[in-house]
Amino acid sequence: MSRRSARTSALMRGGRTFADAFLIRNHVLVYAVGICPIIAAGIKLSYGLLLAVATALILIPIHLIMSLIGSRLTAWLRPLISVGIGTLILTGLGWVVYRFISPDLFTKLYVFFPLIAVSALVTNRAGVSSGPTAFGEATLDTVGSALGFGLVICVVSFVREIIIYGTILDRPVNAPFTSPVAALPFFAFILLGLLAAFVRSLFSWNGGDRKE
Amino acid sequence: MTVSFTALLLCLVSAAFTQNLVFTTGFGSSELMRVTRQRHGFSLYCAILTVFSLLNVLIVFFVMRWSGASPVARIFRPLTAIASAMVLYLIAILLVPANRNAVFNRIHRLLPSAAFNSIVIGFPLFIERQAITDAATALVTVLGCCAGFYIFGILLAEIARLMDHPDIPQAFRGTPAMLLVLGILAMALGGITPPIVLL
Repeated sequence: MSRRSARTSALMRGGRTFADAFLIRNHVLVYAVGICPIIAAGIKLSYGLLLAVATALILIPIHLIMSLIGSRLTAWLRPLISVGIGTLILTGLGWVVYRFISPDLFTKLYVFFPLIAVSALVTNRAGVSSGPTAFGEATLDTVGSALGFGLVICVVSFVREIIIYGTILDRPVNAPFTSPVAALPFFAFILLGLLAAFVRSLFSWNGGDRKE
Repeated sequence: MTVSFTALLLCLVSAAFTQNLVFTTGFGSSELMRVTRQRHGFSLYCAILTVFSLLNVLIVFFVMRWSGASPVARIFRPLTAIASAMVLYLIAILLVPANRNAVFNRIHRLLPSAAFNSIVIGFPLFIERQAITDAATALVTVLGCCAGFYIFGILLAEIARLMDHPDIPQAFRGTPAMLLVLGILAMALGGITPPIVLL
């Protein structure tokens, strides 16, 4: 195989890995992983954006660190290390949000930071990859997962904010109606179920749900 | 402040059913969907989850009482909940070494996901948000929550089998249908008692 076609094939493989993790086999919609913050906190787009950033901020560094040292750790130590690193990062993020962004936002959302740190989305990603190709694809997979989670939480938060408050990012919009009922967890569960079915129908996935 | 036995019993029942954390806040919903698919070891998983939840809420409850409600204490609250869970996990790893016998092996495999379950981590922060001020109520509430997790897990395991039925449209089979079922259950339970407001 020539170098050019090898590069093209690697790019296509990488693109497919990213698309799989981002949308086609989005972990939230396919395996219902990490849905707790979406259900409880996804009622405003600003909350969704903050939690999406928090997830990306811990998922990507943990993947990079565990790729370097994960193979040297025993199996029972890996979740401990990944949760510990995630917690330290989120404590720092909490301080930044409290000091520089909005103390009110931190007060509302600090309950969910540790839930993101222990989410299966994070601990299941704390795997080991060996070799540059595996590392590259695993990195794309991790970035795709982080962005995929962000996409889902932002879509759910966007819809719920419009229905609950008639606003987007606290700016009023001409919503045809508002209803506080959308703030309840059942609405988020149903919205997630419909989103999951929609994405599945788009890609006509026949694999069935993987048991984790 | 002493709490009567009747109040504690009502607390236990409401935490198990009408105000179950899974359906009122979404805590533990991912783990519930995951373990109901696995079917084997669910009872053992719930037992380990209950032990971790009780111990973690006890530790964090007293740390919260000692540290107070200042902004600095609040910033470190999530760290406290997780640090306590990590210590408990380490102790459990030392007490239940792998490769000793079949039971220890099963427990060892379930330890990470039980120790770092969002109920274990989120509940101590939830009790602060709900202003639960005595340890007995906190312990009974978490016991009820874990009992409800077990009962609804058994129910959902049966429902999960039905959600793979060929009569269900392909797009809804499996996870989408389970999410809709959870939504309908949450709607039904939300109609019985006022919802818990976290935000």
